[in-house]
Amino acid sequence: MGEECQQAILRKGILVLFLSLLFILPGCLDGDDSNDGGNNSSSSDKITLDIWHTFAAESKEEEVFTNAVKAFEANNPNVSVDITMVPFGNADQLFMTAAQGGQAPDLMRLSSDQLGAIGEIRVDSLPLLEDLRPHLTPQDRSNFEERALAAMRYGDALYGVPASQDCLSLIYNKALFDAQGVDYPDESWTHDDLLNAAQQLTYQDVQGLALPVKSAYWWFPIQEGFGGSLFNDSGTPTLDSNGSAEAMEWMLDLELEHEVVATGTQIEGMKNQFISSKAAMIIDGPWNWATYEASRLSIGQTILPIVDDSGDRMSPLVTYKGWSVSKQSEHKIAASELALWLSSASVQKDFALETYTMPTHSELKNDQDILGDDVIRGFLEQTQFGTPAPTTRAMSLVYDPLSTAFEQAYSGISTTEDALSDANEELISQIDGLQKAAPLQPNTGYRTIPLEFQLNQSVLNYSIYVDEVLHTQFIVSDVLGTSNSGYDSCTSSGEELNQSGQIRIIPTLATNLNCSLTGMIPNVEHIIDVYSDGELFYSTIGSTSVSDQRPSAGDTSPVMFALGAIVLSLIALLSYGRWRDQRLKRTNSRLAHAYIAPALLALAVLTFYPVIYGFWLSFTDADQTHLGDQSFIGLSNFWDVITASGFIRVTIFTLVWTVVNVTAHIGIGLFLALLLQRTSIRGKTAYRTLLLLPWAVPSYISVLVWRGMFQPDGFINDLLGTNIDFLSDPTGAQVVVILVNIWLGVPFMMMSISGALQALPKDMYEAAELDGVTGWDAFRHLTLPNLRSALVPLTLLGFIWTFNMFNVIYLMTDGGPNLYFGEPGQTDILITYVYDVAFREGAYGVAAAWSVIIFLMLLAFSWTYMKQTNATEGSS
Amino acid sequence: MTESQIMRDWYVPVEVLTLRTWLVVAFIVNLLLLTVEVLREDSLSLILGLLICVLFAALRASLPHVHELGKRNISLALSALIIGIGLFRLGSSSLSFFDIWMHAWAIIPSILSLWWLSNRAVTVWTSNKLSTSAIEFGLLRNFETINKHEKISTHLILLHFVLITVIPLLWIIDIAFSPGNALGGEIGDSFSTEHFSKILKGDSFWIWFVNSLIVSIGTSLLGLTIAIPAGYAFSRYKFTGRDVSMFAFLLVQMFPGIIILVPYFLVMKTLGLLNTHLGLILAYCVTALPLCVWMLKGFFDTIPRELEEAATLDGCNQFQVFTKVVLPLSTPAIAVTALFSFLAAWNEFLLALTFNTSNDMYTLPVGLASLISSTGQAWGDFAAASVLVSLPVALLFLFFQKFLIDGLSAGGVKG
Repeated sequence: MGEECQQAILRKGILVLFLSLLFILPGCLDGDDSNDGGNNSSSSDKITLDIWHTFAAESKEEEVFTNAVKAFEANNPNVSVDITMVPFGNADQLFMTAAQGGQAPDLMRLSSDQLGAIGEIRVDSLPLLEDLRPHLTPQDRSNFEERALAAMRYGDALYGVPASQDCLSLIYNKALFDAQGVDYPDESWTHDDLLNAAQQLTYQDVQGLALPVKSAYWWFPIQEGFGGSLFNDSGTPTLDSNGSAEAMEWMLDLELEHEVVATGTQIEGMKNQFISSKAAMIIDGPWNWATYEASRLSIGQTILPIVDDSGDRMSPLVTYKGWSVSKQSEHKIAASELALWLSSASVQKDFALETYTMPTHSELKNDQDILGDDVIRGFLEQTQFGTPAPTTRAMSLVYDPLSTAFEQAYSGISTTEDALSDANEELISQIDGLQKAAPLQPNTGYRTIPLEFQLNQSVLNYSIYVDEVLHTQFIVSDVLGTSNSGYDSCTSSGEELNQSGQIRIIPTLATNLNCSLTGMIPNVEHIIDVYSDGELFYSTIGSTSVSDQRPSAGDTSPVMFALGAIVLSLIALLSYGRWRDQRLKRTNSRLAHAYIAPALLALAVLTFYPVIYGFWLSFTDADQTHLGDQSFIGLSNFWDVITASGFIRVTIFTLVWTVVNVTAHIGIGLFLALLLQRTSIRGKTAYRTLLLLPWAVPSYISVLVWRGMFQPDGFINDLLGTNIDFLSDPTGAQVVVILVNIWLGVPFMMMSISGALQALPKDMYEAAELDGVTGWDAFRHLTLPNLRSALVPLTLLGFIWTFNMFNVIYLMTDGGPNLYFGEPGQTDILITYVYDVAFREGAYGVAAAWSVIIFLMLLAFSWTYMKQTNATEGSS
Repeated sequence: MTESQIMRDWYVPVEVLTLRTWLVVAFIVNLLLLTVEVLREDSLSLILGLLICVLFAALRASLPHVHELGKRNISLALSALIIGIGLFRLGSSSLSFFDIWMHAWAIIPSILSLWWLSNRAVTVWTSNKLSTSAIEFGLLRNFETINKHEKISTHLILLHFVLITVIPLLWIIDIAFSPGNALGGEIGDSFSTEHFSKILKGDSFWIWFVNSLIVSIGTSLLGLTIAIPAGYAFSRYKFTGRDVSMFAFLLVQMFPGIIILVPYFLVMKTLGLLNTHLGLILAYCVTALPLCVWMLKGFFDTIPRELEEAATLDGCNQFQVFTKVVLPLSTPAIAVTALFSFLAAWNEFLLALTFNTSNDMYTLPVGLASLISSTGQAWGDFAAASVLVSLPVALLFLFFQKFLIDGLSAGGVKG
């Protein structure tokens, strides 16, 4: 084949690429259609709703949920529902990614604290979730407990319909109480009673109480009990309010001084303790009740005790879970119907009776079946004594400074008062440092029909019916009631009416009424009847044609152009390289560029755009409060990164982490590979397979099992006969995470080096042995030089992978222990800290800057390493 | 120098040879085991442990050479001393399995050294009564027993490593086979297959399994298809842009993936690859490419050009040279990279989660994650699922070892 043939091949290749692009382009253009779409749901077309839930696979909750959805589909034949289960731990991130990519589902199950975290996010200056206030009628709203509904509001907007609630309560093991002759806990208990009982119940290997004393979530009820509170009425943090320090002191003493709580109890471990009857009491929620019963424990529940000193009862934090409609949904009306159905009395009752999910429906408060179940009744009672968690961004930020405060107080670095006041200062400064989203422009008039009519002084009550369904109720009275909660507007002579529950109160002297009726279907005529005392008072017909607002996220055309540009530039570069080689008369490498083209193309198409985008982001002020609307701010992010406190420390630990790991991986891997290769023993296959197993098992579970093994009541401490909490000591934690990562990484290195050793000719060793070169010398002078071509890329890639190894540290310690406020934890490496910055703070620009710095560090290392080892040399 | 003098200088009894390495190992292990005493905060044991380490070092140093009877006797004394201290420590410990094992590392090497150094061969060797026939006899003995010693030491070392490797996995298996969903309890206290039946009876697991299988096999195949030519080109040819391209493969691994999820998502959406097998396959190929390309290049480097030239002279064209000469010799490399690509795809979570928006495309890692509910983990189910996920991989390891161990020897092709 002559040179012309080679050129022909190259030309053909380019043609193929162009043709394939042509095929892709129309496909991409089609994809944009999904963003247009009807903004009203006419009842004659078939609609498909996409709903995401976070119930565990194959669980009872999933079953109840699926049945509820099927019932909805049966009642609404023009709606079909696609159910997607998403893993709970990643649900909100997944939702955010999908929303930015224009693929968000119609409905999503979210909790009130998640609403607090994502409420401030703006994509294309619109929030992620639909404000449900115009979608709900006052009758709809009256179905839910006031507090529950209020908990689903972020700022003024209502982002979800509450379907369930939960909070901590006191659960006890009756058998253990009987064994020690202690009376069961009851509502009259004080916190001293709790402590005394716990002390009486602690004997041999049984602890009186199972409680993770360093966890803020368990401290909240105690803080409230001692008279403190997390925030004051205006939402300012008051972590160090009166009683907070005493509460923390009392809680820590349970483990440190009175020893009624086992050393180093963590959330997962406390459940195990209780299940294996090693703890007499546990402060836990209803979510584990079924598991405890399944372990054949005889258990009881009562509400948390009163604190003597203040006279207040311990009040746990109540969180609510509900259904939200995404702002991108094209079928918001059907979606809100489904959300209301899933939170209806019958569905909530099913959930309650079959899965111990506490209901929020007002009808169910007096339902016989609900009250008849002791467990549900007991936990519901606890929620009455609970404090709803504020649905604010500050609430979502509370855990970090508090965890540091607990570490400091627990290890004695600081007193509880100082720790809490430092934590409070840190929280306040974090909140101040956050970017705030621009105020929302509400979609006025959407699904709302204004109604105005004159009142009759002699009438005492009114009821508005829309299409023969009760909508709003009024009474005429001079009772004060509470002021309008901001869901909708009803005025008389310009004054907003007060309400009692959802019933509006008209002052006795009022003459007219002007109401915005929510929950109307657009572009449809509605018959509005006003009844008073059962008789028709006023009637009219109204409609609204205000349409839905939807963000235009996920536009793929800029991406398409970018991809096209990348592909074309790559082809141009390859062709240039080919041309230059021809000029330099390198005739033996005619096909080289064609050989590397597929790999380079795949790499370029999939990864260049995201990486370039990441680079660009680092120069902007990208933040979750204004996604899609970032502006260039130059190097300011980089300055923030370099001057961040703890930057040097976390970089040093990352380097230590990487170097120790890679050295051990390759050292031990080499050792084992040599051992298996060069000695002749039986059972090599078995040994190799066993040694490779850490690579086969999903690292998620093996890392968590290792974590369990290093707990104070875990395997390692059993072996040693000690009681050390390895992971809460900075050096201990660092050593442990490194050891676990070594365990994880050696198999791969061992196998790769085994493969490389295979390629070495065996007669080389035989020849050497004849010359008397054996053992160590043979290794140094024969094996190593020949392994170089395999060891160099393995070291290089091993370094890069370990530097960016996220899983192990995230799962074992989550970067902890966090000993300093506002700084990375003691086992944080650069990449785990980037994760915190990106997802907790939503400061994407800064996170991108951190990533670029990581990139530059790795780049510098690789470049030097490659130069030093001449890694790119070809065969000699 | 006469032959017998050479032999005299050169011969060392096998026991002494073995002790030379084993005592060093015993020293290192006992040194490492001192951390246990530190963690236990037991000063007496710590001091005794330190003493043992020092004694082992001294023992190693006092191993005799030919005709050094005195040194041999010192060694015997030191061994006896170590045995004594070791037994004392053992006696005063809690006699758990771990303690017995720990003290065995002091007692057994010293007993061995005492026994061996006092046997006939060594006594004769260190005395003045060494005859040529004794040396010949000794050399024969060496030849027969050195292999045995090597095998025993290899087995010992490998067993220790296997133990460390396998303990957490035993836990996982135990949890998978225990009733209930707790992460705790003793190993082997109860047995139940409820988790396995629950998972295997449900539809979801099989859907996840099939998806993972398709995606992982696809990744291996496609990855090899595009990496092999690239590796070959980098190894054999000098061309413009060679260094830069090789470096480019590394560059993309360096950027933390978390930040680029959203643009990556958009790229997939643009290409219409969301929620498809092909999308994941391509994404995983790209992740695995750097290693595949570099490893294959490294392997191709070790294949001498002369072989290819010889084949060309024999009338093969480019393609035949590649398939008949190069590929067979690189079976280990191809096996490693295929296995690596497969596992990279099989265990990958984040991209599979982000790019799949429908449950029937979920792969095993995502399915596993969805067993976790908001209220905590169903550990039993999760462990059972993990065991099921690891089984195919373990089988794959067994299968692939054939390629690793029996790569075609170079002998046949060499001219």
